[in-house]
Amino acid sequence: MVRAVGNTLIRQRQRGGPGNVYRYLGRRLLHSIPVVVAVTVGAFVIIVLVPGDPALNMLGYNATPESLAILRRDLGLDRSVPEQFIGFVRGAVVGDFGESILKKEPVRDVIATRAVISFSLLFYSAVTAVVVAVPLAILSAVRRNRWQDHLMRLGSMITFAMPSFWLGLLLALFFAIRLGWLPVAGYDKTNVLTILRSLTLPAATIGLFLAPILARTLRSSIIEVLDQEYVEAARARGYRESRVIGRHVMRNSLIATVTVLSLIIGFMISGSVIVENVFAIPGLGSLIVDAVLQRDYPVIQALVLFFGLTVIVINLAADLTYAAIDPRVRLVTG
Amino acid sequence: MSFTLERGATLALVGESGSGKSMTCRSIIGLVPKPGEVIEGRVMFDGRDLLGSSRTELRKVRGGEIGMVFQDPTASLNPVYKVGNQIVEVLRIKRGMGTREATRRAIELLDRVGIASPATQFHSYPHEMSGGMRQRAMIASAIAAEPMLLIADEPTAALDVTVQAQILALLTELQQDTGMAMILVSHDFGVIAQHCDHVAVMYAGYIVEQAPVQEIFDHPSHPYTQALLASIPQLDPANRWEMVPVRGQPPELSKLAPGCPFSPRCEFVRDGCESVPMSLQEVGPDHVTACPFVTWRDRVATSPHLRDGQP
Repeated sequence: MVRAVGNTLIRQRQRGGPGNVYRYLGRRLLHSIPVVVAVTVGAFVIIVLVPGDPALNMLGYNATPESLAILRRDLGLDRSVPEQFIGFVRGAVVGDFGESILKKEPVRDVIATRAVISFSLLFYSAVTAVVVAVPLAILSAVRRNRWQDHLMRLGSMITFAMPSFWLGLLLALFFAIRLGWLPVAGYDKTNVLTILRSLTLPAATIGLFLAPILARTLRSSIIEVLDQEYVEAARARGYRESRVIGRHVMRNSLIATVTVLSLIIGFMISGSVIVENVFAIPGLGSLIVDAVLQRDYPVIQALVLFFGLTVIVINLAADLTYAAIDPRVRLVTG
Repeated sequence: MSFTLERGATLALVGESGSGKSMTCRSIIGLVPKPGEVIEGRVMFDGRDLLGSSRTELRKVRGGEIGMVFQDPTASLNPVYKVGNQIVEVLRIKRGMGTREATRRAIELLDRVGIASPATQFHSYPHEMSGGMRQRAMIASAIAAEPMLLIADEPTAALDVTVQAQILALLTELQQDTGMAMILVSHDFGVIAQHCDHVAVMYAGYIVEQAPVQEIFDHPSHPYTQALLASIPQLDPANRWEMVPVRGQPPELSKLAPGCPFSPRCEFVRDGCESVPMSLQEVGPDHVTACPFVTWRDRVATSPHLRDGQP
């Protein structure tokens, strides 16, 4: 009897869930193809649309005709636009974006080293934002319209209104200069601990900037879920309030949070440009500033494409997370 | 208001929407939504006063000794968890079972409430089930901890008519098997006649009449009860009276005037109605009513709805 039951359980599990998820994923992947194409075209068009001659822009007006010709050939600017585009796409597919004018290294390597740093920072910031926002949102929703709620909303307005560079400077002033707990700036890659210490202030800066947005969205979706009858039903089953909130409310409130998180990733990337410069973190943010200032076109092109793809991947991940959180999502689109 | 319920018996709470039926149910297990609160009174359950109980004690009673079935199973099952796991959760927390044992028991329970291929349905999400199936699953979760009392708050209101009878039959059957008591909230006198022993008629938060089910149908005493009974459409051509809706609207509970809250809608309103206390007095065997003016014998003779010896 028991064995028969067990077998049925396993069969059902194979038949039901995952197939649906794969179909859902397949559809989401198809949806992102046009976006990838658009981003690729966009990244390429930058160099075509640049006013004047990119080679001249890069080398300056004192450049000799010979060096200009060499650079044009290196960049492929002596070919027709369609030829250039095919060359760009062909390179992009295998990750070959040519050589950085500034650093005389393959663009791919320049980006790869810095991407690791930037993504660590982004991840650290997102974790900080979530760790700060989730408890605040719960407290604020459960104590709706009480002083805890008002305090949270006021506080979130204040941190959100602060420009991130200024918040960064304040944090650095207090934790690095006054207390001396953390380095003021710079990136010490000796070991994991020093890396963490170097990234803490920048991550806190970005995280505290994002936390209010997250906390507010989460607060309102928690309040909405708290009014649902299944929450009442969970209470009527005599579960502890911590269980009611943690298990029955939170999972249903998370969708909104994931949406906001995925939307603000793009925001975080641009936010990290400023913060990486404030804290002298050698990530993609400071790379793109250097590249723009120095007219390092291959790097700019590659970064635009890279950022675009990152946002696409993150959105895909968000879609998958929805499906993991709420089974009804699989049904609707699957 | 006051009512008692014996072990194994079924009490019906009847009344229009907004008459306080659901609030009564909720106050029994201490779940009155804020900012409401139970101002005074006692809820005696198995020799204890639940109103005076600590939150921990109350939590033990909820879902343990008192199970609750809600109106709309679509809303009262959590959409993101498998139906089976929601029952497993009850068993693990209220009965302290391990996952494996709880899973086996949950499948038995799904089978018990009449869900076909329970081992398969264990893995369904609520949205993958029909309304009737969902309500069966909800009932399974409510009886999982083998409660002494089951509170069913209009358990069929959100269901298809064809399914309603099945669900009620299931509740009665479960009750007979387990000997649990049941409070059935309903506004369907047909359902009440079939499934309940006692009836408490509620109006504006008061119980206005309470009696054994046969007594209520034979000798409805409060004008509101009579009006409710008269508003039931009859299909039997040999035994038919004209359906008379209760005129007017139920009052707003926050603006209740002193005296009998039904008096503005009452056919028999008279001087003194505005100052009667809403206390229950005996008018028949085990039969109490809040209307102090007429006994049921007078009422039958004068009621415009109930002439010709009906019902």
